[in-house]
Amino acid sequence: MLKIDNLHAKVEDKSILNGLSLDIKPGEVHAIMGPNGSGKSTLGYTLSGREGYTPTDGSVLFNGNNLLDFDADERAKQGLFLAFQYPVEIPGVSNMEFLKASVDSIRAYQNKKALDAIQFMKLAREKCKAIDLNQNFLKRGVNEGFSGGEKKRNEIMQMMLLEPKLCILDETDSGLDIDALQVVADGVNACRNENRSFIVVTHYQRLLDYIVPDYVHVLSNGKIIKSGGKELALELEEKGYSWIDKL
Amino acid sequence: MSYIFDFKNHKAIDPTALMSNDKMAWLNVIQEKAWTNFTNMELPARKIEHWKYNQMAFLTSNTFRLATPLSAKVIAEVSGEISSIQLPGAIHLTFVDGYLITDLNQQPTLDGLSITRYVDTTPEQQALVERISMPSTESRNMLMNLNSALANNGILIEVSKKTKIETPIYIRHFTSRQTTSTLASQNIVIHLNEFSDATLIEQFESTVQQENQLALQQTHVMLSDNSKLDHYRLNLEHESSKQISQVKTILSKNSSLNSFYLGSGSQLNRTDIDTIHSGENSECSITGIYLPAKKQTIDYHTNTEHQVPHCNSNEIFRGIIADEASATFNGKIHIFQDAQKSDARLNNKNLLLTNKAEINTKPELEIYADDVKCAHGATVAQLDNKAIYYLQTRGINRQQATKMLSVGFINELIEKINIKPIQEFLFTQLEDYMSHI
Ligand SMILES: Nc1ncnc2c1ncn2[C@@H]1O[C@H](COP(=O)(O)OP(=O)(O)O)[C@@H](O)[C@H]1O
Ligand SMILES: [Mg+2]
Repeated sequence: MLKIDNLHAKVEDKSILNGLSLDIKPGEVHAIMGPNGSGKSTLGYTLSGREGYTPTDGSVLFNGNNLLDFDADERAKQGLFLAFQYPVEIPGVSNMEFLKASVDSIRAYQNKKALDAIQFMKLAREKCKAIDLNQNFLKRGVNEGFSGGEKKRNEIMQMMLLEPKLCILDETDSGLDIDALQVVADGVNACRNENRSFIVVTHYQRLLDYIVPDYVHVLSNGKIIKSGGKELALELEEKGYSWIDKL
Repeated sequence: MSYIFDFKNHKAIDPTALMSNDKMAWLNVIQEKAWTNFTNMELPARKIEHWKYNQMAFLTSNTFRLATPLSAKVIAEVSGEISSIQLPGAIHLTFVDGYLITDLNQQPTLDGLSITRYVDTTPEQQALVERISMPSTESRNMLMNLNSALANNGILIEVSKKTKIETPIYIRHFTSRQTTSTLASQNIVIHLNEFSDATLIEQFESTVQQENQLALQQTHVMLSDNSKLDHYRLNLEHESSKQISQVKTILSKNSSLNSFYLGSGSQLNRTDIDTIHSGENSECSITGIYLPAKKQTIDYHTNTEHQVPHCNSNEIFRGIIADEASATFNGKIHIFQDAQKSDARLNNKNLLLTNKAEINTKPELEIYADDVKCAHGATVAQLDNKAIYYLQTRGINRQQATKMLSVGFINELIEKINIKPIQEFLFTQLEDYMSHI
């Protein structure tokens, strides 16, 4: 599915990713943990094609294609999805219009049948319900005035609509209370299947009680310095991030 | 008859041949006043504050012939080029190069509505035209004075007391393909009597390629006590045309004006919007959108006067400036000393789509009363890269993302319009604009 090999990336002449390698097979869930500033979000931005996050070395293969050769929208069309740590507010563009444009464009690229307005509405309402998001949010501006938790749920709602192959969830747990966390985790778990893979980026072990990963990686200074099973997350939680400095 | 304007020597232009005679002699007071203003003024140029951001050199680079009426055959040809908003039951009037081509006798008659060519007016109506459209000595716009001096082909629209005209009055102005540099001139006076209510839609278009045409136009609005006007003014000219125009509205007691402006197309489009609150408790809401692209210049100069207490004004203008285009928004609020409890708001937001796009936005506040509310603000922004990236990560390409953000910038202003066919028409125009940028 995704094969990252020795990835280096810089932001404004500052090297942030320093030789990151990761191999993800279909259906797997990989958790990436690391202290603030270790480069977790930068990894998501670099993989999804954000301008200014420039790969300087290494390669990324996504289902056999050189991911880094494509524009951000093409990567999304190929099935990459990033749930933002800080979703962007876009006043003036309604959530509904945005979701429709997104679904239309991705389905067209993947040669799936276009949804008419009614089918789309039905689907969008269904997904809102699944993630406990009031349907009124469909009419509002994209993320405009949404609370932190509503923004996160809106991200997962989009993921459910777009049916991506690889989902990168960037600190989806931050800003969620325990009930919301349960709802969001249920949503993610419902999307899990043998073909869909996940990178779950988190600062805390807590989320991984709900979304149980197959692998856990520890990121430090733009590099994976330790990998293991889900028990690694517990160990990290217990010993604190200062532990990894001693690794 | 052909009449030539040589702006370089404008002080020497002899008005005699233009002055109305016989039946139209009543118009002379207006014309003479306008001529005096015109000849006493300096030519529009960048050194004059009022014209600072407009390229006016074309005025002196050649001479202009006053447009003459087209033959029926040519009119039949150009009529097909004029687009039309589907407004069932509307009263249609069409002007080509400033000349009314609609046969007023063929229009449906509506109780309480009269439309009269200046040449057919009664003495009472003539007095009214004079009262409403007489240029003031302070009038800063030289070309509008010229237009007033050429008012012979004007029309007067009157709505009687306590009448609500349900169907819109839909006026289309078209500038045609004349062979040499021509100047077209047009004047409208509209009077809403007490407790009346009407909708006026003015649409401006021009033929595909215009060499050096200049269209001048003025609409003078008089709102009597408790009357209400919805006014739409849609400029959709071809990108080679130039139009200088003015809308002046006088609001009497308890009257209300709700107006909407669209500026798109035109090489140069300059509109002066003067809104004069002369009666207490009058209110206006003025909304505008401008969309210059390529090398176009669109310029709105608004001047909102609160002459008396207890009036509200609310102006919202938004512009998207693409390519190498430029726009100017000069919003003046003038609150007179006696105009206590005035509430004046002005907001202007601009979105620049390129590094070469230019915006000049300037609030001008003259406030002489102390117990007033006055809120004004102007912003200039570029497309939000983070928002574009966010849309891209959802499979929406950069071009479409740009479009969505741009439309999102002005959407809500169009959505506020409560005449559905106009709203749809504007969305189509917007779509068209977006497909070119
Ligand atoms: N746009 C940016 N400009 C400059 N530095 C940045 C930018 N984005 C991230 N960084 C830096 O890159 C490093 C990693 O940041 P980030 O990927 O956000 O870490 P994390 O998500 O793990 O907290 C930090 O030192 C941060 O300051
Ligand atoms: Mg982060």
